[in-house]
Amino acid sequence: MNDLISVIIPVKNGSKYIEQAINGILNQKMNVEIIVVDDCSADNTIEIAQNYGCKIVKHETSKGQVAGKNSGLKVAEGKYILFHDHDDIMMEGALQKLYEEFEPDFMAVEAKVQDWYSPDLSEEERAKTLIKQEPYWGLFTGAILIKKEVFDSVGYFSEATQTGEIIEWQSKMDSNNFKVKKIDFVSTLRRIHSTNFGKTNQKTEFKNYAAILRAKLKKNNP
Amino acid sequence: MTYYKPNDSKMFADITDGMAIIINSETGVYYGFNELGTEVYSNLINGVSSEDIINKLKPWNNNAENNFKEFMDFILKNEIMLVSNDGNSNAEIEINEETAKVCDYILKADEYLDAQELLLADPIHEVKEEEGWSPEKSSLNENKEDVARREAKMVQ
Repeated sequence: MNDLISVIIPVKNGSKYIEQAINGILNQKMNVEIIVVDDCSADNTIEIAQNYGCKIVKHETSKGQVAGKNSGLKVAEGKYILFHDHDDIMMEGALQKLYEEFEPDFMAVEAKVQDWYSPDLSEEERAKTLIKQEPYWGLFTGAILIKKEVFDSVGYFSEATQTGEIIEWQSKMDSNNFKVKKIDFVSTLRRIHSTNFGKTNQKTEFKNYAAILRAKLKKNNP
Repeated sequence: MTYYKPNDSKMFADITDGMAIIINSETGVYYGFNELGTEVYSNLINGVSSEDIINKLKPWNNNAENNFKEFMDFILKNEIMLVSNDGNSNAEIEINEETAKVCDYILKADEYLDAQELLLADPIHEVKEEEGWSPEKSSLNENKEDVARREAKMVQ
């Protein structure tokens, strides 16, 4: 049996898709604990997660998905961590492949994700929502298996921004000379639907990115 | 007179804490200016002519004209700004000498390629912001004044 893997799912009002996400993880047939961090859902997200035996963490006030990752980390018991979106679906055998690709020199293993139109997305919405046609690296969720000890060194995510935490994390990984092994396969289907968290105002998102990049440059060139 | 304007179609620029960060939304390459470069960039955005900027820098640096030319060559080569037909004749040049001194009166611009995959990985931007998952503002540990100050400096 593999070392325990903690799969952390931050979610808010995710009842529509979370069951498929949980099933996708359970179908991996790996030794996992699924931690669902509920950010004040108004629907029955928690009930669904409880029915599947997930560990539940509830936020008293809505704090966002970055804080959700941190809350999950605080209760995670696994030797490895994988963040997962509530609406995505992990490919069969992906978790085992990520796990088996670990080598002593690496602190994380990264696969690609593939955008995928949710079946319930209308033709009209598909037409106005451009997605990547090819699999790509660079997304945290569902794609990177990380040794938990990494977070003992680099700390939790900054909750000052709501996006771009992977940029900050990558910067900290570089600072600590922690290596990430990239594997060219698709681990997760990233569902594109009408209310993706990622569908935000581009200027706000880039402003978050700029703040992280600025902090990184100032740290490297004080 | 020569004027420039931001290349809004592909570049996102953010000026905070005296440092401009410009992200090319098509390539994921990003650029950073030193503090003097950031002040010059701000003046160009405000419609100050390149001639007025050079005249301001010259008393501090004998090589100011060449340095400014190199700076603008970098900016134009990377399409951070575009030549503009219009300036703002009422724009007052604002370059702080103390800032210039800290930078040894030299304009600097750098290109960074280390976040390309990450910056390009999350490009779904088709719907209104309020439809996304936003936390309660009170949980973000920032006050209204900070937000207003940063937004005021944000290049639209």
